[in-house]
Amino acid sequence: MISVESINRTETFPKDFSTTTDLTNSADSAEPSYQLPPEVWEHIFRQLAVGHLLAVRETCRQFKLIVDQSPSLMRRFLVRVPGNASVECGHFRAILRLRNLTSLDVRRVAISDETISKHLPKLRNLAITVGQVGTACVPTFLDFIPKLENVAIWGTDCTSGNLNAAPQKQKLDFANIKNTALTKLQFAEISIARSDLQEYFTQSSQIREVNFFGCQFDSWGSVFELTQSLKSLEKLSISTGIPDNFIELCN
Amino acid sequence: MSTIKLETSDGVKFTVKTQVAKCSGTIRTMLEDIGINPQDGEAIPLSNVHSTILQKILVWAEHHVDDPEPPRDDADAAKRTDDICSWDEDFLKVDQRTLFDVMLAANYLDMKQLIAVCCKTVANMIKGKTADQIRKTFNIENDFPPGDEDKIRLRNQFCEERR
Repeated sequence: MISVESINRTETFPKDFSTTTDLTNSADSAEPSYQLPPEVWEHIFRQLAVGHLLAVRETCRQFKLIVDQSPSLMRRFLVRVPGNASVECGHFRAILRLRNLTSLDVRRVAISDETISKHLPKLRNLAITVGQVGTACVPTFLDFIPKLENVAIWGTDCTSGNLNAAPQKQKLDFANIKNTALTKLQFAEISIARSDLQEYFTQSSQIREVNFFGCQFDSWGSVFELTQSLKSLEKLSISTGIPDNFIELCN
Repeated sequence: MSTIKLETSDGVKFTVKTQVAKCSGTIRTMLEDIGINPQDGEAIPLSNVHSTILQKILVWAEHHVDDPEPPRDDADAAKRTDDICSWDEDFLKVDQRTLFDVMLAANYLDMKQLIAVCCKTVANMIKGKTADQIRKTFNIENDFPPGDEDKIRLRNQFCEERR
């Protein structure tokens, strides 16, 4: 392997040090050993596909931070558009070139709904953080993405360290939403009044699964009245915050 | 044949072909830009590298000394990790600590090709594993406060590419 002329032992070279096979046992592998610099981890993570990256993000704070702070990793599956960013946001531009993207996770999109549907025709899964806005959020984007199946609407961003629920939850208004092709809906940290969803749920016979995480209802009775109109509903999850405390109700 | 001396953190001196040593961007810079003259017999100090690791790295460099420069590729795309040559695969069949030490040293020595192949090896250790299995593999503590992890996972579920 090593040619003699490439590495000549010098006077100080240990006598018994000769072959590379010695090296394999040179360290105790039981020690904690993830002390690689962040840039090396990032390099490693760049070899991974989206699904594997997601597992990495769930591993520990450091890994999550490395993934979240790397633009080239984030643009694989997540776009961070700051709350009041305009269309010029570089990350979003990059995403719009990924015409085959099927899943997208964005903060409140300050970009026209038409743009999303035009550039991302294959989008099927959308998670969107609407954040705190003064008036009720009207998710008109739903009408512009025909292939959308799974939608998660989050009132606060729980993935960026802001884990305390906001004192006042974002309101949603579904009154004029026409897209009835959705099969899975998730609401988190949202304030929900029966009247906001009633009409939409009555039309949406295809919805199979609804999750409410840490949502605020005008009354608990609303939840059951609302979901009664969903004829295809197979699974309803409600939790008061941390999803350990699921109340799971199945048809 | 031109050779230079390298001195590791534990004081071991290696005499190495200049061409092999130049696999390291760090050493190349020292020789070419800073103008260290190896003919003086002075050893270049590599204060972050232990002799056991340098020995291993030199084996790699010796084997790959004639490799062509790799093409620059798109950093944003997920890369193939199944194209590690069998020689490298055998070379990196070491315990995790040694693998990480080699990576640290390769990083310090700026050996892009060696870093790349190590990264692929570690990436292959991550692929297909759950967060919990990744923690076990690398002996990582779950330092998320209770509840946070669930929220991240929930949110993640929506990003997963469903086919």
